[in-house]
Amino acid sequence: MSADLGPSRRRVLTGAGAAVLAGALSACTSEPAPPPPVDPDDALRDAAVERERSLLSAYDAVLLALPELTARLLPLRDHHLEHLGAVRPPPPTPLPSPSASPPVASVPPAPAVPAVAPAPAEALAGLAAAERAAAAAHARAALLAADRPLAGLLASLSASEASHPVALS
Amino acid sequence: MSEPLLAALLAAEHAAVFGYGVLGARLEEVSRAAARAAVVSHRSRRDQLDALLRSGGAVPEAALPAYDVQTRTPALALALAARIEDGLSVRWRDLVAGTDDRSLRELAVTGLQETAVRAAQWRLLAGDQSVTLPLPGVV
Repeated sequence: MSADLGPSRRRVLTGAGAAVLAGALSACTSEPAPPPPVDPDDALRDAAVERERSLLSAYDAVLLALPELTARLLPLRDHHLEHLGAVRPPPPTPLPSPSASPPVASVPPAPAVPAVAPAPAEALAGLAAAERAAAAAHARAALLAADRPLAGLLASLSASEASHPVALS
Repeated sequence: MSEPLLAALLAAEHAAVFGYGVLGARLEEVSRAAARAAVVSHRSRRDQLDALLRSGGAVPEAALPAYDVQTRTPALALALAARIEDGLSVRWRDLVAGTDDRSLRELAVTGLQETAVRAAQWRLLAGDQSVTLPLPGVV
């Protein structure tokens, strides 16, 4: 243990002895204990969750403005709900199941409707661009994940989102 | 150890190249062009996997003389094309989740994206209700 303290304090702080050492340090200097080491894979999961939530919001906005696209967009939106559940099961707050409460009904209609509804082609192109960006970000995350199943999952999300523009074209 | 995963992918790419050769003949002109593009891509992946295995000291399996493919109608041909791509998606995902090697993972992530996109394109051409999968490569 004492040999570990030699070359790199930072290394020790991020290792298994961090809690013990932090306790000793705070006793001497009254510094607050450092937060527990963050698992880099957790940050990748958080970012993936954020991307899925953002895509869900984008779909909801289009569904609200252009309800005629519902039949086309709802299956894709459902995929994103499934992605969210796969990255972070179980979700901290229960998500509405797509069949129980469709997104169109769950969002207050009046304030969110834009003054002028976008053209459907424009809205679909916007969603396709958002899907491609998320696909690229998931792919980068899949290369960084230390946990192999997480890497596989992120790659699968990336592939799903890369394929969504086919259904949006 | 990624050699068995690469070998499984190579076997699937051999089958894909054969399958597209057979099914392409059954398709209408628009779809046939897509099949021609797909077979070029699969040949290139096949050669890449063969080279990767050789560089690791393995002796890659050659293609079988023939594969059992049913493509009597254009609809069956489109369904087979989607099935070929879905099957390859599983192999690519297995490779992503089976290696820590950065360049292999990159190849596999790209391969998975390509197969998922092509599978969706085939289902769109077939007029399927559901074109995309929520989790390509996950079974």
